[in-house]
Amino acid sequence: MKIKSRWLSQFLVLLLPLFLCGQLTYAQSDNHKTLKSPKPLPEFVLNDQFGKFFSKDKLKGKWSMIFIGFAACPDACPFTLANLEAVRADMGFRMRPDNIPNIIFLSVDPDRDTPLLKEYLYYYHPEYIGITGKVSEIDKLIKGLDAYYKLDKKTPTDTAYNVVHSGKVAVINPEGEIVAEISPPFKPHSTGEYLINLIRSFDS
Amino acid sequence: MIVFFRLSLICLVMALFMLSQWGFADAEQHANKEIFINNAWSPAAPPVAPTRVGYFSITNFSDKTIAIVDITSPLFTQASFHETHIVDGVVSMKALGKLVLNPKQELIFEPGGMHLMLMNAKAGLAQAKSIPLMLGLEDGQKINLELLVKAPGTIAASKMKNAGQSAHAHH
Repeated sequence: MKIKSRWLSQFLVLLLPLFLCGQLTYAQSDNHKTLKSPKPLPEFVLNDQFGKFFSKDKLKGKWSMIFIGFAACPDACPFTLANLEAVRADMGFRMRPDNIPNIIFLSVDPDRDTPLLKEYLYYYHPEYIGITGKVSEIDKLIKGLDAYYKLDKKTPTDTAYNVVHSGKVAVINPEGEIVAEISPPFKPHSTGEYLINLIRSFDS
Repeated sequence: MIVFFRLSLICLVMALFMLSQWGFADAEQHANKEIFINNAWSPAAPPVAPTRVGYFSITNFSDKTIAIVDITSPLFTQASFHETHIVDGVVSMKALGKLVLNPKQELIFEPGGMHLMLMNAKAGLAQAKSIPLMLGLEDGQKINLELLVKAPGTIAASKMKNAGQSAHAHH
């Protein structure tokens, strides 16, 4: 009887790390969701930070990551930008530069952000793309991304409002289709690894 | 003789290294006898950014509960304690009002979690290498500290708080 229980406990001790490993990989893959089939984005017409038209066509021929934010966001948005840049740096070791996704900052706060978007993004990286524009056009793209935002104005004249927004980042293929979503926490290495595999699976 | 020379050289290099580490002012700040503030910093942001953020860890070494009821900075018209939340994949922020530290409690302010929200910058911020702050305790005591401004690239791509919540929300 004693021997049996010892065997059992040893068996359980062996099983425990396996179980924990399973939980870990599960939690990691939770941040990366590959869509069952690519979902085309709707047509939209916004402006980039230089004032030029930016439509769905501009997404063609290159991988992109679209993330939603606003320039007055002190904590989450700069942190996401820094993390996405770390993801790109990680990918840079193993992938051709032209296959590394562009970073597109979709500002859902056009009133405050239109005048400062160019300078704001240039400070972080000269290649970042910032898009914003008419609310109706922003809303079309937000709907296409299956995302959400709300300007949290306390009064109609409130200028120091917060913006509540989806934290996920949409991964767009060179056809302008959403193929995956990545959610915080953005772990540079595992997210980079995931994106490399994703992009290679589309290339082959 | 040569060995001795080499050893002393190694010692010298080590001493220099330790001195250089000691030189970093951001490491630790003794605020008062009870409160200890560590790693107070703020990521540099574009001059056009309407807000800035500050992070630190704060420990209450005393045996009593301490409440921080006020936060001000000469470089901003508004400063407050905030917390970022991610619920159902949606990022939002909540003002924390006063900050309550239980006896022996440490609170860590870090990207994606609790943070100091700084709004409406005044002239002088662009050149500032550090941001002075003053915390007001409930008993009237004041604590002065400096947030060391660091390049945005130094935002450690580390743990984002509340991430578990967003992960669970998808299921």
